[in-house]
Amino acid sequence: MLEIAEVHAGYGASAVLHGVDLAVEGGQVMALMGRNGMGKTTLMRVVVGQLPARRGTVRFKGRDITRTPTHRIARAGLAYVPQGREVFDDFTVEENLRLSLLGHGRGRGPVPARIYEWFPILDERRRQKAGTLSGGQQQMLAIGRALAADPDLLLLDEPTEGIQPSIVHEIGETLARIAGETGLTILVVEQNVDLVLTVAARVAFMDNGRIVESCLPADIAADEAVLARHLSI
Amino acid sequence: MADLAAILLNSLSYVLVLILVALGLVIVFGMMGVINMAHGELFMLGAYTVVAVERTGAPFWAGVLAAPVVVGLVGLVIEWALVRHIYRRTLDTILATWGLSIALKQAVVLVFGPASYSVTAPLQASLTIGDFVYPAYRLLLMAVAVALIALTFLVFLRTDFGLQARAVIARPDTAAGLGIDTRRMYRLSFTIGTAVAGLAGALVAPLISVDPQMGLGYLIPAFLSILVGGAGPLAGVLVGGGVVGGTDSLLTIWLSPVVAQIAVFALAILVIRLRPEGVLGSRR
Repeated sequence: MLEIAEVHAGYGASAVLHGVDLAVEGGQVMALMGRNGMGKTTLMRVVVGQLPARRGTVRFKGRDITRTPTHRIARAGLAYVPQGREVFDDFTVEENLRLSLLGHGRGRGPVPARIYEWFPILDERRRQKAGTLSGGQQQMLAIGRALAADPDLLLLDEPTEGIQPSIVHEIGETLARIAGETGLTILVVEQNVDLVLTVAARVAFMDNGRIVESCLPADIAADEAVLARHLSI
Repeated sequence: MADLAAILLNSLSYVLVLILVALGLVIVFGMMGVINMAHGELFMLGAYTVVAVERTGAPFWAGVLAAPVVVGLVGLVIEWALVRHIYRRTLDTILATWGLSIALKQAVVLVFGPASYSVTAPLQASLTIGDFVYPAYRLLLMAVAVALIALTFLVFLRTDFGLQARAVIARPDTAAGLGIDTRRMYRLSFTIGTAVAGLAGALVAPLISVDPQMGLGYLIPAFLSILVGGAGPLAGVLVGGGVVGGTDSLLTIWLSPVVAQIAVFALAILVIRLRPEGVLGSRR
């Protein structure tokens, strides 16, 4: 589904990614963990075309998308929920969801009912401005918006950042349910071990702009040294 | 009393045209960070389109219909050749479009000469109520301007195109991540903004002298309107245009053009000092 090979990228004079190799198979839920500043968000931005790769290739469904503009990548079926959620505060919940359909040339159709099934709170708050929602609700909106246009791959960047623990668990369960029901492929950048253990089938660790290790979630649960090695400061 | 009514109506018609010009500017600035110094010259090209069409013997209204098409096409070319290379580099856009404004003015001098033209209003009739007499064309202009302003608001606040455009203004990267072609939105919005400026220039042509310098007379107050009203919400332009255009035109009549200019600039400085985000702008 997604193959990242030898990707180098950075901002100005500073290099952040030093040859990232990562493959996510169709239907797999993979978590990407690592300390802050190791390049996880940079990698996401390269994949969706917001930041150009200096070297290396990104392939999505077998197609090279390394130089493809962001909106084309989105239309090809790759949805991205950026860090900090980035919902449109002044637009209603429904308008936020419809934007995704409009971007995919499906503006005439209604918001798919299953989005409201997965996130009932969005149905209740349809006409409310997104800016008035709580952090957790905004995260659900951002995920719902990404899923509204039926993507094949969902990239999630720190979906639990700044969200209260009870909602974190709920989001984890919902993501696991969505992946189970639809066979959606997910790559999630996450620090929260609870969420990773709830949804992921595979965990990769990033350190200093490279993927340094990958393992099964069970290995993390069994051996705390794995996490200590990659997450503790 | 009748004099006062005429003065207020003249002032109102100036305000409405100013708002039309400023709307194009604020959309282009809000969306792509482009300060278009050539916007006044696009307004000028609208008026010259009327002059050129009238020369062929065609009626005034043919010129008015042609102006947004001609100027919109010019805008499309400007976007493709110049503006798309400097999106979000505000300082560069000022220099590049300033150069463009000089080039456009000189092009007009080459084709039409430096002298001014006058366009005859298509409606010579007047509205008479008691001793109050007012030219019908000015009333028509106001009606058309109000309709155009309302249409622009409708497009940006009530249509799917407008929703996408506002999404691109608020968060361009996120909008692109949802599949919205931001480049296409920029191109469309820039073209709409220039077409509206061209139409405004065409409509106002019978009321002013059409010359190569006419653009500047609207560009500066239009910028001030945006500063005073606040660039964020479209509604800011209404307030800014009203305050700036009203002050300018009324003081020009009651005192003198110089005093009016000084007052407008003083007002703008005062507003920017007290409310940097504009009258309607939110404080950050």
